Amino acid sequence: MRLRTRTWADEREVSFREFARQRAAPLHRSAYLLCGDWHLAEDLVQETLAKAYAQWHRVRNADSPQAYVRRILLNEARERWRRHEAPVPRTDAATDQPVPDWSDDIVRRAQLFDALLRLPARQRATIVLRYFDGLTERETATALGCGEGTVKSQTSRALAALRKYLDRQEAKA
Amino acid sequence: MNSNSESVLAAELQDLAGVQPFAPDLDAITRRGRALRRRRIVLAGAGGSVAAVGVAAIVAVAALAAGPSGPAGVAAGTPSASVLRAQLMAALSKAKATAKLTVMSTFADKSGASSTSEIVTVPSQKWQELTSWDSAGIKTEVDFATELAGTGRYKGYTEQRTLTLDYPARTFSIERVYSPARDVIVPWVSDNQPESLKNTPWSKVVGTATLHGQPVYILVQTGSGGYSATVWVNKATLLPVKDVVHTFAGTTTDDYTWSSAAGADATAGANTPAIPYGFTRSDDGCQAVPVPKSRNIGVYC
Repeated sequence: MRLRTRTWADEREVSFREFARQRAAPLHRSAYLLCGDWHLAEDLVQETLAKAYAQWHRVRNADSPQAYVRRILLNEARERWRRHEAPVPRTDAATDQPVPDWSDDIVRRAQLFDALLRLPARQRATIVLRYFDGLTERETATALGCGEGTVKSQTSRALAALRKYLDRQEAKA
Repeated sequence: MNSNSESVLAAELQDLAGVQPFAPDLDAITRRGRALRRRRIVLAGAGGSVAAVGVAAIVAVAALAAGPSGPAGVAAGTPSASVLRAQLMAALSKAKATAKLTVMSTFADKSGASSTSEIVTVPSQKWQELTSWDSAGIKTEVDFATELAGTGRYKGYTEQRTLTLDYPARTFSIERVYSPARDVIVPWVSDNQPESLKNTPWSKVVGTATLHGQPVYILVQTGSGGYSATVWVNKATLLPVKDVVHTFAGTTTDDYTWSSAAGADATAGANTPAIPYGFTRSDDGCQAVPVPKSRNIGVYC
């Protein structure tokens, strides 16, 4: 093996790879909640990171590289939904009758996931950003490219749709 | 919904996503990223969401952009923003398939650091060249990509061959990617709709001017979040002459030169960069790889 001086291109490569290693798993989990399929989520993250690499100088110099990449992920997910790869609700889980034993939680969680996947794309993204990624309303608005008022209204509608699953859990608690 | 329900939801989502192991394929990502970087050309430099600035800023941008002749204001007969955008998209679609395009693009981030690249694309000749300079004006990299018909065991496949010259390291590498699907790897097919021209909440033709000796319309688009884009559109050809896009990351300025793709200087062979004296090869040479069935496989040789 030949040693060589680290170059501008190497620095770019190293910094990107470090970023990708750190952020890939969290992005993967967010993507899963957005699309409902681990394999599709993997594709989404791969494409998202490729796009980040293509414009790495911008991403790296952004105020928040993580926010920048999260936005790429959302755009990528939106593009796919628009084309044809809409998330498929797990209707089997939704129609299954819950059984009153230890599996009750699993069934209820599956129903919640199903309900989440049935939400309109923007409401679903809002929920994932606010309650999974833990963003503030302002950060969510920036990520989605909309106003804070829109985030509030989208959140409200989404939570209303999910309410029955959450109420059940809350009552149990 | 109260905060308790919100807490429950947050916990449920964490449980749903769990801790799924995931190791990204970084080699595939960077390979795809390099291809995307070449594809970003045509107006993708103007990409990013376009967003809101005040009217005063818009006027200032328009005035700055107008050049020596200054903005002429919106005269009778000036198309609306939506009409101009539709015309621009149609002209772009046609030109991208045939014309030679040179884009000089400079990105300056908020710290003042900048980088410049020139991208030359000749779709009809199936090649694209990207040259990058750092903020000190030192050439850092040249990529030359072309598309060929596969031969031998790759007969019937499409080959994208990329020569990369790394100037700081004084090395070069050649990447070959074979694919049964043409549209997967062709680098010069830009996005169907440039991001700077996507529908935005607010867009307007703010006037006309003369830029680089060409009569132009000035199209300004804004949205939320503090972003803005201005595109100067040639009145006669309805192709972009220049654009400036402000995003939270910085400002991108692109200058476009459209010309005929005909002639010897437009051919791939004539434009393949010679490997400079003293450059050594940095890749490992040919490797035996299977013929791809359904996705790209990179071969270095």
